[in-house]
Amino acid sequence: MRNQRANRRRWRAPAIAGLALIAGLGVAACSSQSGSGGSSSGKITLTEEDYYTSGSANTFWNNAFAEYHKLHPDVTIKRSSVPESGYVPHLLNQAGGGSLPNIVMVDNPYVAQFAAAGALLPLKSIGQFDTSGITPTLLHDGMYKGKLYAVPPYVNTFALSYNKKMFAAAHLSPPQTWAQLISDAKKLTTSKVYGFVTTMPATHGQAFWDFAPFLWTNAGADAIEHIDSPQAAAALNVFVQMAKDGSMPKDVVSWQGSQDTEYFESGKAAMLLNGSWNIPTFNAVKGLSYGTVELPTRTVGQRLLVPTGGETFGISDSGSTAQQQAALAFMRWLMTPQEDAKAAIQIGDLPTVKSAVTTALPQEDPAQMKPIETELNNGGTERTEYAGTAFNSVSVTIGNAIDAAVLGQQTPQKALQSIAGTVNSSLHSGSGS
Amino acid sequence: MRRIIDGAAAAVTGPAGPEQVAQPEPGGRPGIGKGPAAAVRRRPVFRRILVPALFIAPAVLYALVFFGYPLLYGIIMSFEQFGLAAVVHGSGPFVGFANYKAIFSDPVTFLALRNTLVFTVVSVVFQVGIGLAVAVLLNRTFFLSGLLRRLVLVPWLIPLLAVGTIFSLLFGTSGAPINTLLQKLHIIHAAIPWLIQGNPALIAIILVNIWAGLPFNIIVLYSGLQDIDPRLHEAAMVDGASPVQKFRYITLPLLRPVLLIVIMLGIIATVKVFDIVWVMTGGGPNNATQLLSSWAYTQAFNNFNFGQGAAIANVLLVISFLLALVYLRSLRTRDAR
Repeated sequence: MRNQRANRRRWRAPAIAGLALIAGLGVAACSSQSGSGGSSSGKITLTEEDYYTSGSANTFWNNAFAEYHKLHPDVTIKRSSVPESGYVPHLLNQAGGGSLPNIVMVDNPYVAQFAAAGALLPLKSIGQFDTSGITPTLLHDGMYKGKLYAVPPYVNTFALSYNKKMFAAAHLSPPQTWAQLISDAKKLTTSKVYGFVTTMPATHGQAFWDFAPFLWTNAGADAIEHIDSPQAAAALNVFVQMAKDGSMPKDVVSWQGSQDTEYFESGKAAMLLNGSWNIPTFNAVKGLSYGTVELPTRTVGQRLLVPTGGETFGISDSGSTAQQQAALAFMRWLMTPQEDAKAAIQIGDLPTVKSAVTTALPQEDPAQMKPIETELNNGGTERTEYAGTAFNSVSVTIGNAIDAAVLGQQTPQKALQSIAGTVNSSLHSGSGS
Repeated sequence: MRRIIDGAAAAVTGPAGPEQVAQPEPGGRPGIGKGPAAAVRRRPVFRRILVPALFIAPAVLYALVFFGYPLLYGIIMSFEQFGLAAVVHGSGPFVGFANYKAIFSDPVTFLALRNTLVFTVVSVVFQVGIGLAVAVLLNRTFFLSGLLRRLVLVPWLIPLLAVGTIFSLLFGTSGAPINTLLQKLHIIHAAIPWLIQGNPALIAIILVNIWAGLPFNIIVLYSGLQDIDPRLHEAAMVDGASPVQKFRYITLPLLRPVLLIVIMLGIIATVKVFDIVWVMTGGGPNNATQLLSSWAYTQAFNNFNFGQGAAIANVLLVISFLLALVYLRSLRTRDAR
């Protein structure tokens, strides 16, 4: 009997302790989820997120927030970065939990969807934001249905970089037309060198990004609305022909990383579709003598349209009004000519503030950046202009057709025709919702 | 009480191996007095339920929160029109079976089903087959056999993401290691377009999955082989049995329970594989290597069609559930025997 009572007491205490522990953990977990960082004593803490986990952009933003804190000691901005490949799912998780950061970086093709879903606030609804100093065409990157939801501080695109030594040895000058591009690539291809490389997997709109200048230049900026046109097929044929000639390795449709820049840096490729953000890295490579020209067009003098890349910064609907206004104040500071120029120089892109361009460009490598600047000023086009919220699925669908044609599984005409129906229904159903 | 705890532990850690199945305890719990009064008899019963309940409460709570809630949320999501706006809002408008109709009229879903079937069957067959052969080999003692027994663990120790990344570099087309090796050995003439064409890509991810899954099979089968009394083999040898006969009439029958477990666990685990296919091909080229797992992810996170993604995931869930039922039934018949 005594044993039984003793046994009972022995079990009871740990059981109650266990329950208390669980209850305590539950309360702690629940309370820690409620939004942190308020404006208790006039001090405001903001959170920010982006995908610059390393490199010059990472350095720039750390410095920018530190500098802003020195100017405004009552505002602290906490930064966190997530790798690019998992960035959008990460944002989706946060959006679902209502815990998006105050300042959220959104790659420009996604602005439309996040704005439509209500995750971003129209900037002018928070407070005053003067956009008169920003290049109007570039401002489009952050707009949805006529309202500005996110600010693009810098934009980039790609041009054609070429290996000067190889071109000199073959007595060639950089191509200006598609025909010249194809023949130059063929002449420069040897057993150790490919004439032309890029990365073209269909996922994440990568193939569409490469294809866009060729497609839009020949078939118009609204080409996705008639993707099966002969002009579109002719544009696709540039890549298909180079793959057939062996000038471009067919692996490009599965290259997900930086294999193309590695090939170019190590002298295994003569030409590269090169983004402006690579220029600082290339300039540091010893023994690489390269030049950059505008992308070739089908005929000389055609107007070249290029896709604008670059990240935008928006303000999410989480957080208090005080936090949102503080975030907007930071954006105003960021978009002053001096700060915008600083950003563009460090990151290697083109600043969107008009007056910042004259200061920034001479400090970036002007020889390589000039073609980029010209392309953007003359023909920078937002990818979601005609696709809107359907852009994600449409770009992958077209990318699959591009890959199929490059691999020789279908002719360019056939490949684009087979997906034209899907593309059109995606565009007109407003899918992605 | 031990049976309940064992059961709870099994629920948390997944299907148990043969040695963990709860043995029924003879008689009642030790220490209960046979008190004559009814009041005394009531209290032990209450204590018998309350205290065990408190012990399994954390595990049940954990399972409800981390398994039950997402499961329920996913099922509900598959009946709603769930896009990016719904993610922000928390839920979407109810649309009945529209998502299921949509996925079953999409040819990619059937392609994913077929790929998952091929992937699972081929992977398990070769994992078990090669695993058994290696286990039989390692069962003997020879020079460096001890070292080899440890080395076979290596594929298991490397995270699947790293495995996928490394192999996608090895399986490149032009100038990549595997093609170069095969060409130098004159096994193939032209480079195989491993990851850029549908069928070679599927073969590539199956090969990598087999490689990654071998250690588990080898270890479990090896321990199963170790359980077989060597005197049986000796007796058979004395009777004049050849190695093949020994294997067929002694080893295999005695190994059957372990083989069954290894096959069932292999199938259940392989049907859900995601990391390898995602890192190596992303489901491409052009959806040729989509498995149900990667197709659900693509629909949800690339196309923002969460409702359809959830529907595909639920199809996979039903398949896994049915397989798990088969497995649990096989355990029970084994116990009964």
